Amino acid sequence: MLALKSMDLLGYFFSIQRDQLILGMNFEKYQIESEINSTYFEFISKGIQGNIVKVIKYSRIFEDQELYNLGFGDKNMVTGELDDSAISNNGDTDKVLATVASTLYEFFNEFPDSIVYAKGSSAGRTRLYQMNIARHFESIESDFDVFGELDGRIERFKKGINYNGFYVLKK
Amino acid sequence: MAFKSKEKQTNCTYNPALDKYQDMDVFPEKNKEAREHLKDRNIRKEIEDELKKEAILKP
Repeated sequence: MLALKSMDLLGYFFSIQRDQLILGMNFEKYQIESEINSTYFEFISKGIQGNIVKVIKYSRIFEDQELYNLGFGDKNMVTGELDDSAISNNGDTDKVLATVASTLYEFFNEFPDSIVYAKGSSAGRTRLYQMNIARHFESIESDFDVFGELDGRIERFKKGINYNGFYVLKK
Repeated sequence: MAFKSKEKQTNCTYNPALDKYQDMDVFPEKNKEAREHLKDRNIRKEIEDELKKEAILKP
C-alpha cells in the first residue's frame, strides 16, 4: 500500500513537473539554433514522418510599434521554401510546441518591451495554440501576460474561449 | 566580433549561418495578413486600457 502510494506520488510529481516546465528549462524540447538577434530560429522535429526542419520567425509588423508577428512553419530542405500551412503529423506536437514556446524566452531576452502577436495559419491551428496555452496556463502566466482577441476586442486570456489570436508580453 | 553563446542557459545556440534571415520576411503572406488586421490600431494602448479596466474592477 505504501509502495503504491509512493508510486502515485512519483507519478503526480512528474506530471506536475511536465506541466510546470513546458516553458521552462527542463521540459523535453528540441535543440534550437538562432541568428544573432533571436528573431529567427530553426530546429529539427524528429518523429514518425522523419526529420522535418521547423522555422520560427518574429517579424516586426510596424516601424512605430514594438509589435512582432510570430511565424511558424516547415522548411523544405531541398528547395529552402517555407510553408506555414504544412501539417506534418510527426507525432511530437507537445515537444514542438514546447520548443516554439522556449523561443519566446530567447526573443524577449533581446526585445523585453515587445508584444508578440500569434495567430495560427488556420482556425484549427489557432485552436491548437489556444488549447496548449490553456493546458499550461498556470506556468505560462508566471512569466508572461497573455491576452486573447475576440471579434476585434482584446481581453486577458481566459480558458474555454476560442480566440482569433493572441498577444504575449513579458512580465 | 559579436559572439553569443546561449548553450549554458537554454536549449538555444547561435548559428552564424542563420544571420541572413534576420531582416528577411520569411512568411510574407502571414505578415501581410497581420499588418492588415492590425493597421490603424495601437495594440499596446488597447492592452493598457484592458489592464486599467481590470484594476478598476478588482475588489
